[in-house]
Amino acid sequence: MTSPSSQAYSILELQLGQALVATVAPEEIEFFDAIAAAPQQRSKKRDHELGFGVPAGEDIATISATLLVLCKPILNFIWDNAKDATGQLIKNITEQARQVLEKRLGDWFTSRFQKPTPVTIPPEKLDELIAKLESDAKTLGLDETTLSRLTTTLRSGFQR
Amino acid sequence: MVAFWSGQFLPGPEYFTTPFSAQFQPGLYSTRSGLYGLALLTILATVFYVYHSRRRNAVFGPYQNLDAQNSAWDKIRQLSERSGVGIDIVLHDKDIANTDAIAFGFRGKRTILMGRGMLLLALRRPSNFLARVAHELGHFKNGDIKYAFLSRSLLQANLVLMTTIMVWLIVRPARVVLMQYYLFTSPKLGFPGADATLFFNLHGLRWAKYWVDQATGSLSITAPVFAFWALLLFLEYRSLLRTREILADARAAQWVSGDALLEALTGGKTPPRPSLKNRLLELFSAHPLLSQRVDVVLRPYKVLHPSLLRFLFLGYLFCLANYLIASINTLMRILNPRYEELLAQGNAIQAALSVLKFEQPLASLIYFIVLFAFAAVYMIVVATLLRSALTQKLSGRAHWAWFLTTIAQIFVFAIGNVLGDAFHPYSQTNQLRLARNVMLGQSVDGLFFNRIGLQDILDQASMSGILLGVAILFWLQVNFILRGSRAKTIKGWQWGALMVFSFLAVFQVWSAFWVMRSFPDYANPMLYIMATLQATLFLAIVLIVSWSMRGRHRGRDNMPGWLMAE
Repeated sequence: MTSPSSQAYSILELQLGQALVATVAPEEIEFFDAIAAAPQQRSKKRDHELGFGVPAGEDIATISATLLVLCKPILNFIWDNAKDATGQLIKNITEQARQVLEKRLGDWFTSRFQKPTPVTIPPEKLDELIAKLESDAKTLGLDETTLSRLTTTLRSGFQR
Repeated sequence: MVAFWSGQFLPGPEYFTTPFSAQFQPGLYSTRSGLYGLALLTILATVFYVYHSRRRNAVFGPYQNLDAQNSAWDKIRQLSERSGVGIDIVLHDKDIANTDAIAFGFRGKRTILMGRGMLLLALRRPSNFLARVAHELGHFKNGDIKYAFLSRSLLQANLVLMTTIMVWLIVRPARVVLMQYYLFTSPKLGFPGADATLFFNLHGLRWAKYWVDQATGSLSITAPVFAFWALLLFLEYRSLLRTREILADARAAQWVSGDALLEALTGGKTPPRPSLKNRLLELFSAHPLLSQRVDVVLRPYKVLHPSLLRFLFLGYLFCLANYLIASINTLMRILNPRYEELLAQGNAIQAALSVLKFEQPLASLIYFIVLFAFAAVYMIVVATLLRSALTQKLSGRAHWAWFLTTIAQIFVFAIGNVLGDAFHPYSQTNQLRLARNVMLGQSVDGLFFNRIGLQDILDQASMSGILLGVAILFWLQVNFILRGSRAKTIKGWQWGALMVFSFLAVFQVWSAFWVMRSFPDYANPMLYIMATLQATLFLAIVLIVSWSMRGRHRGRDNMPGWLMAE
């Protein structure tokens, strides 16, 4: 299994992760909470009578786990490069404004990117994000089809 | 188990009624106690067996029913239909990292409990999921639920009885001490109301020492025996489980393909070579080593292959059965006064007839149970030799290689048998001797080990000779049968007939030699003619059975169609 970070996920990461899983790998959404709640759990060997006795090991490879890992760099990228409605870089806004923006971002993620994006990212920066994600995703073992769905989702979401 | 509990260890009624005159150590004199011991064992084991499902539900922790609309249910249902194994209940736990599954429950309530990770696996790797489910269905198909849980129930019943007796051995002397104080105090709710002053005034420390000495003496004899017996039972139970796992793998490979099962077992990686530590730990494990499971999937006929360790264990088990049959005469004398009377008159045949006529039904019943247990152990050994011949032939072993392997197997079996002579803490006579030594304040050495002499080793020759004779017959039969064109599965009774009559043919020949050597006065031409005729008859039956197993025509393939047939 591609193991997500050991540290607990922030609420925003969980909201983004859930939105990405619901869009990219909807078949896994029912397991999302469990995967997010136990990020470091590995399938361990069990020795029960009349059991199978062999864990599935790392090859269970959930998409949810990989997407959760990718949430942090995506959010970091947003904080560093996105601009608010006034065109100001959000990394320069006040703490109070940041909290408001976080809530709006959460709402946007919860809407599965259906609502208009509360931040704007210049096209060249978006390409940069996608390139970085592709590199990270390959390292984490995400397959091509899923990666393609992920990048499409992000592009269309940020351009909405 | 019958040997262990019949007449041993359980305190009889006399321990409760006349504690001062009862034997220090429960033993052979408590034969009637042993009978209720067997009854208790049976009842306890039955209760554990019937209710095994209740505790299995929660073995992974909190669980819930799998939603009937879940796609995993559909996959299970399809596989269930394909394999002809009905599943009634599917449960899953809440652990997303758990990809194990277990099977339990009787017909009508057959249950598979899965880890929640299995549901994820069903989405991500359906073939892996199906292989795991097929393995569980294989357990149902092979009847493993009854074998595994019956063994487990017997083990649990034994442990409960052993614990009860240990507690009893501690409480018994305490009761004697308490009785002293009962005379001097007013009992409250049936308990003596002694206080500390009274305790010390009435030599309390000496009584306490008496209690410690009594309890320690009893436990020093009983506890190691119980520990050894519990370990032996546990190891055999685990060995049975490992065999059933391999058979379930073989069945699953038929239903979902060997490749899918291999993928589920190894994840596409080569299993690591097991270390010595792994091999030792395997003895306690419910599952075989991964490398062995993979090997059996690749070469299914290895399912039957017995290891040398198995022969060593069987040798030890055979020794235990021999002690059982050796003490049956004493047991019968205690239970059946007429039997003893007839023996005292030197009328052994009449004594045997009194058993056959069920003149004392309970005694006869026990006699036949013990006889059956002994015969069963012998036939298990014979069956293991047949398994070995079959797998060796299927793996293309040459005659000489088979011969050397068989010699090694019988040699190891004989070692197990001698080890049993040297190391048998279940021996009743040994227990009585030790109890006597404790009472007389003598050394209690030899609690586990007994001296063995050259004769004990030489005694193995005749048994080894019989087994080698049977093994040679098996090798000839297997060579004959495997060249056949039979497609249908060979029935269990056919294998049984082959084993029994092959053994009888060899045993008949050996018996004639034994009579000639031991009782030369009885040797006469008629005896030899009858022995030859009987041995020939048994061989003819073996030939007919082999012929029916082989099929009419000569086959071409080395691997017969019936080997892994449904």
